[in-house]
Amino acid sequence: MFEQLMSGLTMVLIPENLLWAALGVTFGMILGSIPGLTDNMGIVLLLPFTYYLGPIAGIALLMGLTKGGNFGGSIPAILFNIPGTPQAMVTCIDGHPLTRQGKSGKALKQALFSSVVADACSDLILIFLAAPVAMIALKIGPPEYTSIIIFSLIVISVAASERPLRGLVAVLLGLLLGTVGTDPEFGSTRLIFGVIDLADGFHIMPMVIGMLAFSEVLLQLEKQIVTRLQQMHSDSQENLFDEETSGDPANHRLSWQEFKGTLPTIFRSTGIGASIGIIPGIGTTVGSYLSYIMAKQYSRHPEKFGHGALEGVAAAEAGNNAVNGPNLIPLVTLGIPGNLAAALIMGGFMMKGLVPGPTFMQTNGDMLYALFLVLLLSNFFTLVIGYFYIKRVRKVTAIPKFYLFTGIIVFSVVGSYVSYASLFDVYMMLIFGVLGYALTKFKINLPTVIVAFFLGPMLESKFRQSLSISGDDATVFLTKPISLTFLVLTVAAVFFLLKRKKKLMTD
Amino acid sequence: MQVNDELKLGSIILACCCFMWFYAIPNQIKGPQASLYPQSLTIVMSIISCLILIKGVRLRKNGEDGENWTFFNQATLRSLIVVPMMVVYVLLIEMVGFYAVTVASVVVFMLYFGARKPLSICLFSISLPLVIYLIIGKILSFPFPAGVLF
Repeated sequence: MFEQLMSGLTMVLIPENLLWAALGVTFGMILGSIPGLTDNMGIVLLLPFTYYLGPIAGIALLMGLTKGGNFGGSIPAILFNIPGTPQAMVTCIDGHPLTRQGKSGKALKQALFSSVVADACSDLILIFLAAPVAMIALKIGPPEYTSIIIFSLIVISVAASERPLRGLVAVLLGLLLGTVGTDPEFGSTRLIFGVIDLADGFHIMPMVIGMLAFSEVLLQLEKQIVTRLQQMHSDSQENLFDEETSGDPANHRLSWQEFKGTLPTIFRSTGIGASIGIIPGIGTTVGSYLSYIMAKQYSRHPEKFGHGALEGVAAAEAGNNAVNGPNLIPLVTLGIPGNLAAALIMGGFMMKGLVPGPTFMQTNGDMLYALFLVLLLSNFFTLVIGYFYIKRVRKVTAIPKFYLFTGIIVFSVVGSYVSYASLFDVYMMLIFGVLGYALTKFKINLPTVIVAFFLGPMLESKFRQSLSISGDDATVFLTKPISLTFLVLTVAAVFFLLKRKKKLMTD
Repeated sequence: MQVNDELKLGSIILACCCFMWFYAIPNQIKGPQASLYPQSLTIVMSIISCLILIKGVRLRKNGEDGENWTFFNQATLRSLIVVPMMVVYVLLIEMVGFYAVTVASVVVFMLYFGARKPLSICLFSISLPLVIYLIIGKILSFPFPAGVLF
């Protein structure tokens, strides 16, 4: 391995490869910071051009793009409460309140440093654990998948909401929304009520943008109207739509002490994100959200979460970025792409005549390690480019609310339209916006609904596959050791979380 | 005594579950096997809605009001006016064209949100669609509905 690593290093340290990686990071960051334009879209757009580049340069461009896009997604999440990418939605929870307090610079720097540290650690995990971990991942079948998803959903529902029953409502609502579309086994449409556009189910971008961005405009607007009405009664002439943020530069600085305080959270979230990343399909959103929940549980100040906690931003970003490295483990060792970005990168590999799979490490070991090292070096580009990018982009927060609200509305329309070039998606975004508004009023956690929606189709298909391979024997979930472990962990986690919640309430 | 949020939420969810169980699942899903998963979710959801209702009744019995969100208040209705405004905006996109309608819509939304300076309204209504045009329309070559204008 060491020889392959050294050989890979000599292949990487060619200026051309580094340049393409840096360009990928820059392009990904710009795309990620535009709501609705994800790093995946960037990969799709750039994939044909990588054909003209060398194998390492081409893949470096695509991998740099995913790294830049991952961090870029947190920028609008922090500044406007619009997640630039779906996985950045957890960053909104504490990132945007910091912006409202006039600390957008602090939040952006925390997001950047957490992303880079977690991403670099996850790349090291990828380099050193790729082969051994793939052996365990090989043993994960449908029953284990089902138990892991149930574990994630139950933990999220109990931990994310102040009231566990409302958390379960959020999970079930997300799962039910995920049943709309086409039956994965029989291929027949279901619950579409004659609307052909729903045959593929609800698209994720209109849902995320509607629930998190458009509903936020409605909620903020309502809050301002209430304040205006109150001020009318007290005859105040203050302009309610003025920006609330403070211009004090000290508020934008992230001190070493502040960052040091979040390091345990970053490393814990890196561990959670990396563990989730190894399992194909679970994805960055779950990594980010579970990390956030755990950070809240272990925090000395859990009451600050949701109101602008730096730990919250650190957990979301570290958990999200830590998924990336280990997510490539099943791709390079088993040929199984862990997520959409990995699938597109796999397309890039295949265009170069490289077929990821069990023999890939033996036949193309030095090239593979060269690519791993490109990933590691791309973090440096993310840090440098990101640092200069956020210095420019955070000035946007100084603009008045009417610009922000109008901008969010127009970008919500654009973001929901561009994914599938369908105005139907824009109407869906409006519907989800109103639904998100109503659910927030009833204190139902919106990110939980979205995470459940993400995992719903996978839960259904793995559940059905488990029953199918076991001849409709439901005990299959209890007879498989990994599955049983996760079910026991689910019960233990629920017990622990409820106990801790009760203790916090009595304190 | 007011109806608390627990009672409202529990009733709404239970009504949705009844709709799913008695209308949507029998009419929209073919076959008992295909219905199994949505039916299971509906059953669990209805159990939870009953638990929420019980909690609401308990709160009421104990004389506690709990939280209470009223839909028909001035601030809610005034904020929700944005929704029909958005519907008109999207309807016009296909007929008139994305960029032309966006310029007009930005003016309307800015006025509604409290902007009063004509220069800033004009500049923003032109610059925002222009940025979208340059980045998404030109660089990424993504076409928006052109309509009769642009």
